Amino acid sequence: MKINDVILQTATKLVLFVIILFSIHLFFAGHYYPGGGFIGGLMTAAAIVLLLLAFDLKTVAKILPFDFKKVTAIGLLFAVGTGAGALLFDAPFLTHAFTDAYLPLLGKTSLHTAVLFDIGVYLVVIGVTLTIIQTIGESE
Amino acid sequence: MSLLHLAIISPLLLALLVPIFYRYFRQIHTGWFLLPLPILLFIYFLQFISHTKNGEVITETAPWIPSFGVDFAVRIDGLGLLFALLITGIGSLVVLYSVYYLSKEHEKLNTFYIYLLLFMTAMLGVVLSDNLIVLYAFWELTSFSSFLLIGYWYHRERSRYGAQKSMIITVLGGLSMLGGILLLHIMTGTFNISEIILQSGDIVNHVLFIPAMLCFLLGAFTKSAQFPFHIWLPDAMEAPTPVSAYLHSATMVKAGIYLVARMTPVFAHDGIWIWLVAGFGIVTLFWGSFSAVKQTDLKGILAFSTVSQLGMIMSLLGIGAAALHYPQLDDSFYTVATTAAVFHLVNHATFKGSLFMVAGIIDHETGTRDIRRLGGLMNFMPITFTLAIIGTFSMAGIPPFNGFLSKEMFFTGMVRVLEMDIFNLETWGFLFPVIAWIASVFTFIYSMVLLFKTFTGKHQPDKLPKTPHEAPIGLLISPIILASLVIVFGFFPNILSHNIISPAMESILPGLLVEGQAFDVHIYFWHGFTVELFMTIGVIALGTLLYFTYPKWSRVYGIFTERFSLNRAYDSLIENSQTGSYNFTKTYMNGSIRTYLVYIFSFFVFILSVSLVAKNAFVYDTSNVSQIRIYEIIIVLIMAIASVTILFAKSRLTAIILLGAVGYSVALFFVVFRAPDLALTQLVIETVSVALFLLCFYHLPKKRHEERMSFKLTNLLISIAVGAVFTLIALSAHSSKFFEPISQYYVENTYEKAAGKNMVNVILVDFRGFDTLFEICVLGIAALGIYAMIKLRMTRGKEG
Amino acid sequence: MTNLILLPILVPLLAGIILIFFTKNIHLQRWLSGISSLATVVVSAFVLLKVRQDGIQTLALSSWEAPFGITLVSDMLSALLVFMASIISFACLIYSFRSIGEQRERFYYYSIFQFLLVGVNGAFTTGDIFNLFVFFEVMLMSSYVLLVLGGTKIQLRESIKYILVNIISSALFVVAVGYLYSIVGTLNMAHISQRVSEINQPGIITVIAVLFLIVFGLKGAIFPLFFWLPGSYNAPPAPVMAIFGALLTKVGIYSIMRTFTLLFPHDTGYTHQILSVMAILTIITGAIGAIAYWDIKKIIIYNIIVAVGVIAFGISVMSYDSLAGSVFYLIHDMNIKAALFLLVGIMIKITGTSNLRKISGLIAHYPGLGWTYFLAALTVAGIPPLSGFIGKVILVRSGFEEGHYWGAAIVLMSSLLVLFSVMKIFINGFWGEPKDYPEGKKVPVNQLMIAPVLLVIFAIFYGLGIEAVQPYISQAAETLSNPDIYINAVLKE
Repeated sequence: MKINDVILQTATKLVLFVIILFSIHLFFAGHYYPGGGFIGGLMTAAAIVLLLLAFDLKTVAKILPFDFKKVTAIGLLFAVGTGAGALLFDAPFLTHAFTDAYLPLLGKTSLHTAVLFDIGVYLVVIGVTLTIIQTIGESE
Repeated sequence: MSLLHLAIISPLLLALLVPIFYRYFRQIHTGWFLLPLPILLFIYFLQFISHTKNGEVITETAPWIPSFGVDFAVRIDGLGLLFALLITGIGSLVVLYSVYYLSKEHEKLNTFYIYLLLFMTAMLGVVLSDNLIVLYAFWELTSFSSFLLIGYWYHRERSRYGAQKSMIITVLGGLSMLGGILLLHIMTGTFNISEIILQSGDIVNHVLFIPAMLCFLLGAFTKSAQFPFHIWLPDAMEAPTPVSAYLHSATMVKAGIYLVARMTPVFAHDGIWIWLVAGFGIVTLFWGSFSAVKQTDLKGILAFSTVSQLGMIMSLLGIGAAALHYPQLDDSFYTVATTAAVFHLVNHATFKGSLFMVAGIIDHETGTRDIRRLGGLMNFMPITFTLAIIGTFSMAGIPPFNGFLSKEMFFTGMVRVLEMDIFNLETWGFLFPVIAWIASVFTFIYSMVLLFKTFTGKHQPDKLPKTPHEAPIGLLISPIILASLVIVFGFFPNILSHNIISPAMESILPGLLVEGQAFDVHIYFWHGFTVELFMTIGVIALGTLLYFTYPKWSRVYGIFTERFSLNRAYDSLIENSQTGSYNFTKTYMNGSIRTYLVYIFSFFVFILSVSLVAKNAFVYDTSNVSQIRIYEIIIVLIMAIASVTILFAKSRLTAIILLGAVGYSVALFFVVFRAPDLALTQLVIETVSVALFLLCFYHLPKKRHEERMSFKLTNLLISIAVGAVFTLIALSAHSSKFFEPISQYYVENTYEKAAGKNMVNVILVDFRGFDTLFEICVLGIAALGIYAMIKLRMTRGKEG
Repeated sequence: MTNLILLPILVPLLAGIILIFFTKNIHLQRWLSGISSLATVVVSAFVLLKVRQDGIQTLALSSWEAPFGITLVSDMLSALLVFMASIISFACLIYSFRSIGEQRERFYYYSIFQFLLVGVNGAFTTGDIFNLFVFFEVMLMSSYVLLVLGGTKIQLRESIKYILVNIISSALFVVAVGYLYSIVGTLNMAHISQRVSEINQPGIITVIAVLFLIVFGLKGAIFPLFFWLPGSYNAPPAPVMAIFGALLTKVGIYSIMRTFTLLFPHDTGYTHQILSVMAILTIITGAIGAIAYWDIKKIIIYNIIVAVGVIAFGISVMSYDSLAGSVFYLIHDMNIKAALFLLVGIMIKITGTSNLRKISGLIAHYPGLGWTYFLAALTVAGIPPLSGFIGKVILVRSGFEEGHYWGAAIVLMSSLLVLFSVMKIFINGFWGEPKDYPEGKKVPVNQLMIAPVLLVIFAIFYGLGIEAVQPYISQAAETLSNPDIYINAVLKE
């Protein structure tokens, strides 16, 4: 449908990155502050939905040429993989490990395997939301 | 696993080889390969006579399920041996007969012989098992091999009908017997028959004793076609005649008789056993012979005759059991009944077996079994005619055949009932000899009908599909052997007395004799001018009279028209139970999801309210409740108003937005209760859901039809009730905090052990990360599912 | 191996995820799912042997000790059920290879199939009540997809009803867990059991027990909560129907077994009485339904209901023997229901219809199918020495012993109606005048027969070799009648 979305599209182009950055922030902040994988993923998905509303499915498909079902699967692999990592050390599945490490730019950071797990959650949420919306959208 | 065990399962093992014989040696009739086995088994079992004659009993055991006391225990005593000899002896003759009866070109012999061998194993297992569970297993195997044999010509509707009928009735009995076995086990702690017999005196007064007895009797009566369960036997005649001769006259139907005989020492302690067994027996005797007279199919006459004769043996066993009530040695008073029962068991097998084979020969040679079409065959089939004379005269109880001897003893047994003073038999006991006599008259009549209508009278060649001639010698051998036995046992009955009958009686009536004593069985013709002799003369006289005046009185059969027959009752039971079940099920399984939900929620409300009241479970404790603030009340009001307004919304759009409003209110609650993660998630999810709903509802039809007021009212009531129940339980649950919840652990340890300050998130990915992992799986599956559901639309293709 | 008992869950999970990547390559999908299924069977056999030797196995996930983390608990009952579930899904899987059709195979059929097994195995193995809910969701979501996959009209129609009822029951489940947590403050089943004992199961807990009975009764299809079953099981293709009939309802009945022997065993006069009445009514209505129809699918479907009722009756009698009988029967039933559905599926494929009145004489051209069906029919009716016999006998006997005379008699007599209903299919469909089924020539009957024949052979050996199976069942019944064994294994670690 050719409606004049100029305002929406322009606004979207500006706002999109803000939303995505915010969602990534939410993602990383999860362990200490409100946030986490679900929320981060949902916000990113919301951003992409905004993109869809402003433009159309084909354009979005060109910008993000992913099969979102595979994104979901990759997310699941991350999550299961994190858990399975513990198997290598003969620890119960999904045992997390964390440590403080000195990274080059960031200085003293605490690293936690929960991040990997959360990435999995993040990807799954994005993949699922977008699969559903794309599928329903395509069947219009 | 002894030789005895091997003997029992050898037919089963041979059955495995039958396909090979059939496949590769087609030119030789498969029956020839089988014939050696029953003959060998017969000879094998003969050797046990020397043991059982002395009262010895042989037992062997092979384990099957020792933990439950179920072992493949076998036992040969007089009774079991008698049956084993019958099974293998008649079995050999039947196999020989079948070689000439079943054409090897037209019949699928492999399945026939497999079924037959299965049956043989099963029947041997029934009579030789000492463990009731194993006996039951073999019992059911006989039911199913019989089922398969009756339905052998499965393209015929009558065969299928007969097979199904026999299966239902005999399995009903079998299950009942199983119930009885379990009850006995509870009373005695064992499945082993010998041990149960030893304990039988102790369990007589147990509350489960009579129920167990009834269960066993139901099993026996169904298998042995006692009234009113006899209706399956005439329909079983659809089976090929060798099967009718083997199973449905000589062996399988006698399994019930065997069971009654075997269990007499256990149950006869209670006088009601005598009444039930003898009573059902005598009624069956009468009903069978009465019905046999009007049959027009040769096998039909023989079928009802078998029913009647089984009734006779059953009544004799019942009367004979009275001997157990009189432990003194005046026991030969009633034991004559048991002697008669055993003797007649053998006799019946000989004459009935030969008569069935004769019927088969007639069918084979003329193409019909209808006595209205047959007649005058004695000129064409003289040998067959002779065999028929021997068989029918014995059946009718005419001297000098074996049937006469056992009939006389039968009358003796019945007459002696008049002397019994157990259980009201003084008053009603006279019925026994009276009914016995009347039934014998009918027996005489149908025997004569069978003989004369077929072989004498007018020959009607135009009504016969084939030109009659004498049967080939192969078909004649078996009935000739049987008929010879009729004569031999008639003239020299005492061949059997000490070898077979006496040991069998010991199994049935143990404990009556002291060590080393044996039943004094002595059978002979002339007892003088006794009551029994006059009864026999009376039977012959009246029978002859009625035979010739048959057209005058045959109208009595019209009294019980087809409408009230038991067969009709059975058929309508089967038919109506299916349609009735269908209608019944359809009333509640009507496909309407709303109806189902009404039932489910009504049940929910009902059972939980009852439980709340019955268990006094409602507790209301407000001591731990925090202060309710004003904005909480406002948010609740918004939620409530929004929810209720949804019901009255005119358009879907409004409804969805209101739904969103409810969701956002919940998010607000999360904020108020200081759960920012939950609030954030709820807000985004709600937004996405509303968007998706709007997208979907775009496609739905515009107008929903208006529902009836009663519909809406029911919905309203149920909704309120469900809500109320939930609230009551919630309040009680809240007021019943008994323990410190495990969340305390999380509060304390979330930073120390899990390196996170956001407890909610830590729970999600760490403490209970396993849950989260699978929740995201659920999300993934849902996405795949939605994708597949929308993309894949198969038209009405091949399902499977 | 610390994570041994997780493997029957982990292997299908990985397989399910990896299969998502290969939707285009059907051959690879079949190989992968076949290997994964087989691996699951092997691994669950290992678990079974380990539990037999060393008793209850536990795994504290994420290394948080019970009751603060989620614990997986494999007692003998769980191990047996996981093993059976793996075997049956393997059988249904190889049946699917030749029968499900390429279209469905391209749309994630195998992947979802694996996820279903994840849910089932997880539900059997978890020791945490909320985790049980999660695994139920995995199982149910997979079942929604399998039910609707293909999008035929009947599938769509029945799916909406199935989904609706299950969503309601899931909501009830969560609420019930919430209530329970409010009272006992823990989600770990062993810990709940301990705490409920301590306060001696007050009235409110009994009410919640009844609530759980409703939840699991909805899943397990017990009267009067089973209305959704016949319609929804009738819709999907045969292997899906088989896996549903053999596994899904059994998870519900397992949950009842677990909750009523471990969590809420203290008020049996009330809770188990209710269960007993529901069970008997289930058997009766199921048997009535079984003889009512001339549709071969419906006949077997109503037989599911009868079997569920029998097992529930055994639980309600609550004696060591009756629990053992229930376990014997449960294992037999999972196996033989799958076999029956697969066989019926072959019949439908050959004849093109499920209407028994239109089928006849199949045994003439398909004797193998006919005799396998005959044996399966005898098995389901409990004829010795096949697998259904011993469980039924122990159950009935324990019923008589504990004074439940009517219930036990009804269980016994239901066998007659069951026999009638399944023999109806044999007498009318296999016997009778042989008809010509041109479509039947194209059906790869021999390949499809592999799965049901394997299952029937299992039934024969299970029946004959009961002595060998008995120690396992004994161990399972032991834990069920004695909750302390379970509690000590989980909480002492």
